Formats: sequence, structure tokens, C-alpha cells
Amino acid sequence: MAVSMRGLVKRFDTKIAVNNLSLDIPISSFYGVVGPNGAGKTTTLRMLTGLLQPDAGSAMILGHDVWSDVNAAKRMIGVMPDSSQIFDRLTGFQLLVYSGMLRGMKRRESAARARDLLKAFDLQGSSDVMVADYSAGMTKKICLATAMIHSPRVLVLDEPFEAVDPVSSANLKDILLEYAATGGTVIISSHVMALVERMCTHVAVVSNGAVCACGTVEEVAAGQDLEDRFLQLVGGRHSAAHLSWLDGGAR
Amino acid sequence: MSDIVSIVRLRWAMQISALRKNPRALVSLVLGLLLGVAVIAIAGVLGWYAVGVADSEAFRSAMIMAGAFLILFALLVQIMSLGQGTTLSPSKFALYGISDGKLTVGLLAARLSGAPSIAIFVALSLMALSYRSAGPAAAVVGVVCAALTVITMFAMTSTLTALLSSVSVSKKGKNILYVVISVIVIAFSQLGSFLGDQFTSVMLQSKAALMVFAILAWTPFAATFQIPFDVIDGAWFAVAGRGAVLLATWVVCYLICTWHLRTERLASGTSGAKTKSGKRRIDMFRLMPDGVSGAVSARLALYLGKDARQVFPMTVPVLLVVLAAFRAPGLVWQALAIGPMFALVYEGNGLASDGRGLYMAAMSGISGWKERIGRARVYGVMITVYMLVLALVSFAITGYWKTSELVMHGLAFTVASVAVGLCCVGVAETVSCIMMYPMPPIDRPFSTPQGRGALQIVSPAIQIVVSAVCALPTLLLVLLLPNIGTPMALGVITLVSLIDGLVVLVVGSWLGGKLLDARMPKILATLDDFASLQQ
Repeated sequence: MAVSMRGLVKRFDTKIAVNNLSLDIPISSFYGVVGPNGAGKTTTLRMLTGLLQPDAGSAMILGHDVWSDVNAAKRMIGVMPDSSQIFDRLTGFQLLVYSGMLRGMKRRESAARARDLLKAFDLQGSSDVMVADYSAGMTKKICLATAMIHSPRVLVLDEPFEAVDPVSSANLKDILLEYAATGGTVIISSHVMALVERMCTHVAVVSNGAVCACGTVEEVAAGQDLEDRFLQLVGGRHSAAHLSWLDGGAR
Repeated sequence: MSDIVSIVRLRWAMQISALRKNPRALVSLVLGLLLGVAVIAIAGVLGWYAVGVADSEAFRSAMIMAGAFLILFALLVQIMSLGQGTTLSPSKFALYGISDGKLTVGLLAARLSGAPSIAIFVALSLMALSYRSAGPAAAVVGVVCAALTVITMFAMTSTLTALLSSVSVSKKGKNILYVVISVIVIAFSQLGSFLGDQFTSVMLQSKAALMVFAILAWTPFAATFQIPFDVIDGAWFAVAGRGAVLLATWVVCYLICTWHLRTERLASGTSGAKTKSGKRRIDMFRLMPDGVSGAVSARLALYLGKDARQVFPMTVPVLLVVLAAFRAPGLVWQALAIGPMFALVYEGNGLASDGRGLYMAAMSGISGWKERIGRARVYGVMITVYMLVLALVSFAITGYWKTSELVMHGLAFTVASVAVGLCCVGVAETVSCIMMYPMPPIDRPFSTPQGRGALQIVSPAIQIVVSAVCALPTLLLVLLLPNIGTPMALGVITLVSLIDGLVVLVVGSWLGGKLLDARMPKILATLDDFASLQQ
């Protein structure tokens, strides 16, 4: 297994964000972690990647216990930072070189890979522009590039396609699919079912901090449309509330 | 009217929410309130015991000068924020269709309802007690003028905010402006220290000063402080005239603010062009070691070149040397030695200054030691070069270049000041992992995130004390140096200082690394909290 989580628990004050969550993610899979807002997806991924200490449970990455030597575990994976979790006063090129060198790569190699990534992500024209001046989509791309520069065996991406235009999305998907085809494992969290259904080989549906269903996309969908199956699993669907004052000014 | 009241209630709801969410905000509020109470108490005592001096020219000049300085300082702070200092900005109300006039008045009312404006009003009202010897009417007018002062001050700062946010300034231009304004503010704030005994005669009683005050008293900067004296003197035309000046000021402020809101609405959605950094690509990375700590150093060095937040603390060593040169030339070298303790308070909150960018290091799994060494490298070099340059200035001021014995002393002082600097770097690398307080973001260096308040004074104070303790061997030697004559003794002193500095640097960085490794998730959570306070 690329990733193995057992009994993860996380509480914030009185709220239980992750409730005894267990999940296995096979090597070379393209794994989608889906769930409604507040399901515990991001909290789970943060505990897996060593950024948030769980209250209970364990997480293993490529057979290595994350919390016994968290820095060693982090060096095995690539985590895509959020746009607010980067040094955006650096240029795109500087940011990638910085990211590569932080991973232990030499400067020359980091620079070479940074050029390759900028080309692959269509950011060559903005390589000398501060990331703070990038659009939302460009920032997403540069964040993804920082996670990939050291060619990790496991990539963890939290909502990677949010705010990305369709053309860039398609290019990013091609890169990720190619990466998965070489044996890498990709874990993405999303609540866009269509995207998960198209890209992922496996999916886990998370709700209220626990896994409702997991397996290949076909297994989880169980013959239905994945989105319908998702709504069935997480519940919360109700008939439209009648708001008497919401009449568009008809009266 | 309900819109205006809603905005005021929103301001307090946000304040209370920040207090609930963040214990630091509560501590900061309590400390801020204590400070406010202290200011009010001092004003009350001054107002009570300064009775009968309302006729004195020096007192009147002092009130005019203090009042003008208060309003000018508030305006300078707004300039430094370049229109982005407040959490409650007009852009946040763009969706609600509130009329420009109501929004302008509502935002002003929200600011007037805040603790700073209330504290200033109460303090100025208590100062008005000093007018009571001239009759109750003068004291009542003093209280009314206190309210008018606060309204005028906040109306002018709101107007300046509106004007500044209308101006499109590049990031580089903003940095230059921050540095220039910071130096002006520091220079003004130290004027009293520089002039010393001559302060009163130069600033309050000279002909030039009296002429300036007479002019200021007809401007919104000091009109409200002159009105009580006009009432005492029975100069009713002057009272009416100054009242008209105030009214005109408020009208102009209102018109400018509403114009700004209208212009913003028409121009919304446009954004500045992408700017190239102008820096050659990765030259800074080439200057640093080719490894993890080198990457940390390069990134930090690139950021420090764009960070105006460090200007204030970094200016202190220069100020101390210049102050000593003016007031106590025999203590210039001692001033040089203690300067680094203040300069490095910024690095003492270095993790908060970097903000959530620390996630990149956290995600990469780098060791705390390498991260700390990367930072210590940059600050160690910076403080060493800084002290060497200041030492050259000190040689020139003190004349320690004149004989070989004095040169030896000067060199020993120089090494000692560098050693103190290295000690302070080591302390900062430890302290920054345990004592953090909210920092304004790099693009709004003089904004005031919630929860910052008094912690920005208490935490650096603790860091300075710890630095002084760690640098004690060196500091004691600096005190003894003037009495030491032999080159051998000077050599020993120099060696001891260097060892002190290097040991604290290494041990502090090592300890900071251990703390960073152990506390990384907690530190990241704290940075997430701080980021939400900067919104």
C-alpha cells in the first residue's frame, strides 16, 4: 500500500472532525477522497502528511510510520500547498528552485527541473513575475509544480482544480495521469464528482469524519451515477425549502 | 440611520469575535486597556494640577504643538498603511448598495466608537480640567473641543485613507515610501532626545515656533486646541472662525470620501499590471550554500529586501549612536554595543513575519536545525556588517583613530558589538519558536491585525532581557573596557566576547531547531490563526 490509515481521530474543541477513520490507498492508484464541506477530508490529509497531529490512530506512507519520524515521511511525498501557504513575493522560477532545494536537490538540478515544470504548466512567460501577481489559476499551477519538482512517489493534492480554467485543468490532468502511469500514487480531495469519475481509479467517500465507502470507482458507484451514489451515502438531501419571501419581486 | 448603526454594531461584533477566537487578542486588549487607563490617569492628573496655567504662553504653545503632533502622527500612520490599515474597509460593503453618504458616516462612526477614540476623548476631556480656573464655561468648551478633536482626527485619517487607496503605487514604490515615512517618524519622535535642554526654548518659545503655532491654530490640526483659549480671552470672532474651519474640514472630508467611493465603484475590477521582479533570476541562491539551509537563507534574503516591517527596529542602533553623539559622546561605544538587542526584535518574531509560507518548509520535512541555521546565516552577516559600518562612524565621532591605543580600544568595542549582535541572533532563533504575536502582512506593513496590541511591546521586551542576559559577559567587558590599558587584556576581552557571541549563536540556533521540530504543527496552527486576523 502507498498509504495506510488506521483509526485516525481529531477533535477541535467539542467537534469531532475525524472520527476513527481508516483507509488504504494502493500504490499507483489515482485516489479521490470526496465528501461534503466539513466532512474531514482536509483534516485527514493534514494528519496523513504530518502537518496536524492526530489525537489517536496511525498513518503509514510506503510502509513508514508518519509520526515516528515525520520529516522522513514528508520527504517521501509531495504535498500541494494552498496559495496562501507559499512565499508569493518570489518569482515563479525562484519559488520552484526554492522548493527543489528544500527537498535536498542541488541548485542546478532544481533550476533545470523548474524550467521544465514552467514549460509544462505554460508559465514560462511569467517565470520572472512575482507569484503574488499571478491569477488564481496560475497560482494553483505553480503550487502543484512545487509539489512535483522532487518527483515524489506519492502526491497529495487538496482541491487541485479549484479556480483553474478548463484548458489548464485539462493540461494538469494529463500531467497527473502521466505521473500515475509511471507508478506514482496521486491522492486528490475534491467535491466535483464528474472530475473524480473521469480521472480517478479509486474513490473514498468521507462524511462526518469517517469513510462511508471506498474502493474502485465502479465498486463505489455500484452501478449508479457516482454523484447519485455519493448523495445516497452522505445523505442530507431534502426537498427544496419553500421560502415565501423569495419570489423575485412577483408580488 | 439603521445602516450607520449596523456598521457600528458590525465593528464591535468583529472585535468581540476576535477576542473569543484568540486568547492573544484578549491579552492584547487587556494590556491596551491598561495602557489607555494609564494615559487617561496621567491626563487627569495633569489636568487637575495644571490649573491656573491656561494663561501661560508656554502652556498654550505646548497644547497647540501636542495637539497638532497628535493629528499629524495619526495621518502619518495612515500614509504608512497606504490606505490598507483597517479591517472595516469600504470594499467589504460593495455588495450591499448602501449610499455613499451613509457608508462614509457609518465607517466614521464605527471608528469613533472604538477604544482608541474613546480613550483620546476622555484623556483630552480630563486635560480640559486645567481650564477650570478661567471658569466652568472654559472647561465645558474644553470637553466639547475634545470631542471635536477626535471627530476631526478620524475624519481626516479616513479621508487620507481614501485618497491613498486611490493612488496606484507599485510594490517597489510602496516599499520606498514605507522606508522614507518610517525614517521621518523616527526622526521626529527622537527630536526631544536630540535637543535635550534646548527643547523647550526651541520648540515652544522661539519666535519661529510661535509663528508656526499661530498658523496651526487656524488649521484643523490645532484649531480645537486653540478654541478654549479664545473662550478664555473672550475672542468670540476667533471662536466662530475656527469653528468654520472645522466645519469646512468635515465637509471637504465627506466630499472626498464619497467621491472616492463613487470612483471605486466605477473602477472596480481593474487590477495593476503584472510586474517583473527586476531581480536577476536566482543570483541570491547562487550566493548561498547549495543546500537546504542555503535555500532558506536565499529566500529570507530576497524577502528582507522587500520587507519594510523591519525598518523601525533596524534603525535603532543608528539612533542610539547618534543620540549618544549628541548627548553623551563618552558613551558612543556603549550605545553601539546595545543597539543589536533592539535591531533583532524583528527576527524574534520571524516565523510570524514569514506567515504561512513556513508551510513550504514544513511540507518538505527539513530539519529545524537547517532552517534555523539558514536564517541565522543571513541575520549574522547582516548584523556583523551593520556593526562594522557603525563602528567606522563611531571611530569618526569619538576620535578613536588618533592613537594606536585608542584604535585598539575601538577595535575591541567593535568586536564586542558584533559579539552582542551574534548573541542576539542566537536568542532570536530560539525565541521566535515560542513567543509569537500577530504581524501585519508584508504588503501592508503598518496595518494593525487584531490581537497584536500590547503583545508587540511585551514580547520584544522579554527578548531584549534574555539577549542582555546571554550577552552579559560581553556587556560587562564593554563597561570595563575604558579602564583596560594593556594589549594582552584587550586581546583576552576580545576573545571572550567572540566566544560568548558564537556560543550563544550556535546554541540558540540548535535549541530553536529542536523547538521547531517539536512544535511545528502547533506553530502552523498559530500561523493559521494569525492569517485569519490579518483579513
